[in-house]
Amino acid sequence: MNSWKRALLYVGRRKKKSLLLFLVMWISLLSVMTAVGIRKTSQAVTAGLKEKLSGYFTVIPNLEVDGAARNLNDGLCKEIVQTENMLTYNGNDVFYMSLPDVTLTPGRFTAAGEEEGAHAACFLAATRSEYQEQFYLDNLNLVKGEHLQEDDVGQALISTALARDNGLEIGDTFQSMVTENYRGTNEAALGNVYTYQVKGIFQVKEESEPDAERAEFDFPENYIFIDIQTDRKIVSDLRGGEFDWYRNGVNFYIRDSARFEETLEETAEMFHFDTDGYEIEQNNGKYQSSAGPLERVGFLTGIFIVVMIVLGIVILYLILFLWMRDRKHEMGVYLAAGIGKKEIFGQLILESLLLYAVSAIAAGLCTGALSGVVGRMMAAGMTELAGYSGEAGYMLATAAAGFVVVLAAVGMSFLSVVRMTPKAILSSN
Amino acid sequence: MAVLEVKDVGYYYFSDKPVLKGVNLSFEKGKLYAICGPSGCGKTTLLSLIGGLDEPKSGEILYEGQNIMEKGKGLAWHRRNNVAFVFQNYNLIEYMTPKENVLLTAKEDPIPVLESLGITKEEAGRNVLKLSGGQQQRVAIARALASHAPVILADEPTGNLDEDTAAEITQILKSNAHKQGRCVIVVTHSDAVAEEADVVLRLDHGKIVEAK
Repeated sequence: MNSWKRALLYVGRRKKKSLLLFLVMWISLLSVMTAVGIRKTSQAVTAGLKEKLSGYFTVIPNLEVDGAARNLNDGLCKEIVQTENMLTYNGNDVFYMSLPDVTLTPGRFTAAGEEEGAHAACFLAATRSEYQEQFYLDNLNLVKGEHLQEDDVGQALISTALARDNGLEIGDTFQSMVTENYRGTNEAALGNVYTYQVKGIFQVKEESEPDAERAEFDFPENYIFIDIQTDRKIVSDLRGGEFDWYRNGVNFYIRDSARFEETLEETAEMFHFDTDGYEIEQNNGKYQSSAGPLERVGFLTGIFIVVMIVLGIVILYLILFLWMRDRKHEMGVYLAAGIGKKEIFGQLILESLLLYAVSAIAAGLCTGALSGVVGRMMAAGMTELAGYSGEAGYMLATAAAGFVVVLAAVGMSFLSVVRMTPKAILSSN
Repeated sequence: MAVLEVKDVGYYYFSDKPVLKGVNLSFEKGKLYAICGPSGCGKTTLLSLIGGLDEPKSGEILYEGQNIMEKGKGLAWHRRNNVAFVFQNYNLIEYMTPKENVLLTAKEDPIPVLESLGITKEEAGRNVLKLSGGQQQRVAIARALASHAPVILADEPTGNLDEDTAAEITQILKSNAHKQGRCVIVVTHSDAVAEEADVVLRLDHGKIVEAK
């Protein structure tokens, strides 16, 4: 009878012991795989959080220094974000224009009966609105639709209040018009009408009440965010000449905020922002207040995984050791029957392999589900990070490492038996 | 001609208390040998050494003129090819059937040898623990016979059996010696078994004191 046959007989006939060993292997593997999965999830979440909470600095051109503002264009900005540790940028522009057919949250002008002012809104242009300060600092929160991107044309974000008061939904359009008091320096632009399509709707964190002392364009509810392409077109019309730079500054976001100061210094020097032509404002508060907890999460998951691995190995080894000790007499009978030590060891490995293979598959299937659930819990609220599920690669690696542990455990416990002579084994019943 | 020779063999568990001292014996095919003696005299130890379950501390054991510990073959080879054991407590694998137990050593279908020893085909398919003591010992003997080993070593094979069954087992062993030409060596306390033997060897304090 060969080793395979004996292995299959043992696993099939010793059902309770086989089940126990299977459960120990499955639980050990499940614990380790889940721990590794959670660790990878937490690392992904932490990395994502670090980017989400990335600090930024704002470069604001001094309009009195000739050429300073004109330099701050998309070409330069793209060059800057190619440098190390730079994540992205958002350029800003601001102008005011009237929306004759749009009802705004009423303020000073409405109270005074001034029609033009009652319909004047503040237009804030952004290269990518999710990185516009108001959104980034959570003063405003996009609740429907999508953020503005660099290549958008004719797109706008409006508030929930404005959408509600004007019956506007995603995809609807509204218009602004150049009026006397908000026409810029180009008289020819007077009467120009611009159409915008609603791409997103945002919620103001702390909604304003109508206020007779406050200008309509100062209410966040009346802010209109537009894409940068449309802004360029409008401002060019208002100025009567081409305009493609960021008058109101650019926010540059840093990937790893732990290196904020160093990156700021390098960028300022490289691109000559450390001159009179520019002012730099720093904002690394979000990261600094979150860094501690993030590092602690990473540390704790690391400890958790080490504990799970050690526990898994120890329990598996002890069970296999006791299991082997229980079969000492059986080994003696095999040896007395002339079956060699290598064949017996081969049989034990096959028995373990049969049970291990099934437990590894079962653990792998469960881990995918568990890690996904935990990952989604950890990433709750951060939609772009949710949905981590076990990668086959790390599970296979864990399973392979686990088999090495099983092999070592079977080997070491077999050694404790096989060092004895068959006579000693059979006499020691 | 001797199939097995024990030459000046000595063994001890603790160096100041030898179990076997200068034992010299030879065994021939076709005979039933009984090794008798008081408890602790070294009978089972001698049988274990002859069967290659352990190594003698001194002296040598020869099978057909060659040392059983010879390089390239060794004790495992000797246990697999030259000898087969029958133990007092049967030493069957408990989760196997009689057929599967015999297949541990058998080179062909075990049913005929089981049936020749009174184990039916139906009984051969049951778990061994469901058989009586006598039946289990028959299975153990079948396992030894199925290996076709020229030498059968039986350590108190009737120790756990009633008188009638013990007599049957003894006859089976005797028949294998005389009719199958095997060398059968039995360690026993039983006078009834010793009476059936062709040669009786008495061991006392690790030495052969009588051989007849």
